[in-house]
Amino acid sequence: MDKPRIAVYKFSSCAGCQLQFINFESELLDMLGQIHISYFKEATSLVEDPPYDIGFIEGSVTCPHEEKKIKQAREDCKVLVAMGACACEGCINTLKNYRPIEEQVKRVYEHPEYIDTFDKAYGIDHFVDVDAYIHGCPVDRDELREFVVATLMAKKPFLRPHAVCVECKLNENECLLLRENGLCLGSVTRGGCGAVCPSWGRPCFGCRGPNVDANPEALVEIFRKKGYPDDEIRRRFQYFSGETPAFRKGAEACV
Amino acid sequence: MSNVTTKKEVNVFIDYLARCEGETALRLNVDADGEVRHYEVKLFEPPRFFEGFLVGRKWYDAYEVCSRICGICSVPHVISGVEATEKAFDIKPGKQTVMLRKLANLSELNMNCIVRIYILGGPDFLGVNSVMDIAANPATLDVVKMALKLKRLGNDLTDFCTGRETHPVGIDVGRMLKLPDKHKIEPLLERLKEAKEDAWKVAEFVASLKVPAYKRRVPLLAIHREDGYALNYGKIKSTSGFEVTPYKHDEYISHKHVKQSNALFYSIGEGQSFMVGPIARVVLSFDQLSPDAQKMARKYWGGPEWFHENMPFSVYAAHAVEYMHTTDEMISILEKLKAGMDESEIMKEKAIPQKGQGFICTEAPRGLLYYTFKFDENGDVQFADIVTPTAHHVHNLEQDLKHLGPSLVGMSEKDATMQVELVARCYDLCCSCSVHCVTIKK
Repeated sequence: MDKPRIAVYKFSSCAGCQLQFINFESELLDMLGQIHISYFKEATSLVEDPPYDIGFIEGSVTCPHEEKKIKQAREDCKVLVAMGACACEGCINTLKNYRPIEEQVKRVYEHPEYIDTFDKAYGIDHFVDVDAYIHGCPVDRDELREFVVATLMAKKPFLRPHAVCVECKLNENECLLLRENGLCLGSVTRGGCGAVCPSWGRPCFGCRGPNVDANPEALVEIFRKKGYPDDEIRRRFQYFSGETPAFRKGAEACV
Repeated sequence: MSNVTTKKEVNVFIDYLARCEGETALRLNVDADGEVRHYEVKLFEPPRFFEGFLVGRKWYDAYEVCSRICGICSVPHVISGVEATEKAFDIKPGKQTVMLRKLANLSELNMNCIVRIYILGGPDFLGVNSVMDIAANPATLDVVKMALKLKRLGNDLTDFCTGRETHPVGIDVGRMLKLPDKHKIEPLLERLKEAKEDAWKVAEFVASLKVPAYKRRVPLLAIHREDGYALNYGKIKSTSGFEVTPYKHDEYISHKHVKQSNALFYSIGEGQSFMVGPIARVVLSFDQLSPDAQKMARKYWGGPEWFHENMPFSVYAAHAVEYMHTTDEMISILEKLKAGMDESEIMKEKAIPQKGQGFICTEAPRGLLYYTFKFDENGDVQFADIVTPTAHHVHNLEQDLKHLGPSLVGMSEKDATMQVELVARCYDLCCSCSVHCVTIKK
């Protein structure tokens, strides 16, 4: 069988997720035995024409030229994968969604008239059909590996549906919400990261989007009992995954 | 092949520069007589409005979000954000916290040297498209294996002290959230000592690369301090003679919107472009490099003057020298950590916000990085300003294109394009970073 032809695209993002491919390092050479890189601007000058078997999309669509580009990518790739929080949920690009865009453009650029941007940012499935999602900011390398290997073997990858809390408990951490009154979203956020942030003492900020049975309204109630004002809780939900339906519910539950 | 019989105009257009972080386009037009008619660097990375959307966010979001400015240099972004916040809140971090941050910065810079030499820049000089091609050649596979091994070590060190190699977790305002696992120190030290041997091979590899003859000397700017190789906490020093406390930077470094390009052009003096980053650090802080890094620089390249004289292509040699230096300095930090770590600094309470403004200037791998945060009494962001190394560089890269132009007359389009790419990649442009200089033509 021919090696599958892979394309890695960058949209509005920090390039940290595509970096995870390069961060495979020694495994990268093994991986290259099984796949063929056809398009990956950060890693190679080689550009081969489409079609591609699998397209990994990093980044959100935030401006008109990216909308055109994502629609073209959809046509060019048999399987389209949203890789990382920007492509999946919009990540920090969506932070601009909660303030008037004109005000923000003016704050940053001397000549706002040159700036061509959408008022709001979303994950790529706002514009095109997406075949698979690999969550996280950045994506977890173990999960990315699992995805690539399973796909090569034509198996369904095991991407974890449970909450970050589950993994945090497995790591035997003390609970940041209970111990430190942290604004931890671990109970409503999809796991798969190994609870890396709470394990290092940082409350979960929901970069992986909601888990399957998230109950954000209940968490809002808990935060209130801990003494947090509603506008602080709302901002917590309107953070890395604020445009997902579940986190929107959390934000809307705040007055 | 070059057409030597009839000279014709040179038209270079690169719509999306490869092996560079983010999206850059370059355009250069030179007529048959060698007169440069048009030169332009365009970063078409879409704006993400960090300084816009940070306003109204909580202080603890600000530095966490700023990590996401750049995946490759997330460590200096987080540290700069944290330190600007500390300035605003009048918090002084403990000695060990500062040392662990330094370790994080060094590990990231160390990893970046390898990425630049072997993955982003190196393939150019071996006539191949990518590091994958270098690995595909059995004669050079071992070179790639060593590079990937060294890169993993840099990443493992960032992971060791911050919890994650991309977007570090454990760095917080006034404290580290967790101490590194002491059982990992000894194995990391062993690997670092092995890497020190490998560093000489890195230097040999860089010295063997056939770089183009093009060179152009311009002033260099970097943070400098007498008592160590500065990555933060120092003065901004320039080869043109000034040395100033960082918050006075705008008295010496100006920027303006230039019609011809629409980019923000950073200059010193009367519109003089300059360079920041590895060459600037090596030249300005040569005496602060570790003994072996100095020895390496002298053995292969003669000394600091060579780096200044042979810019921009001396950048790869500067990466090799910084690889040695960062390896040495990390060894000494790990030796200190091995002797014992102080638990009290991680037991500190979460920072208490206060109204105020903080400014900080640090060295990211690509050079000077400024952060300004202003908070109200609740710790909500009122103002944020971030100036990245790449923002400093656009002006000088355009000047390089202008100076390079005449030498391209008579070359084939392919060769001329390659020359422009090679020069541009010396700058290691980081477009995700350069929220300040997005240039979008109407």
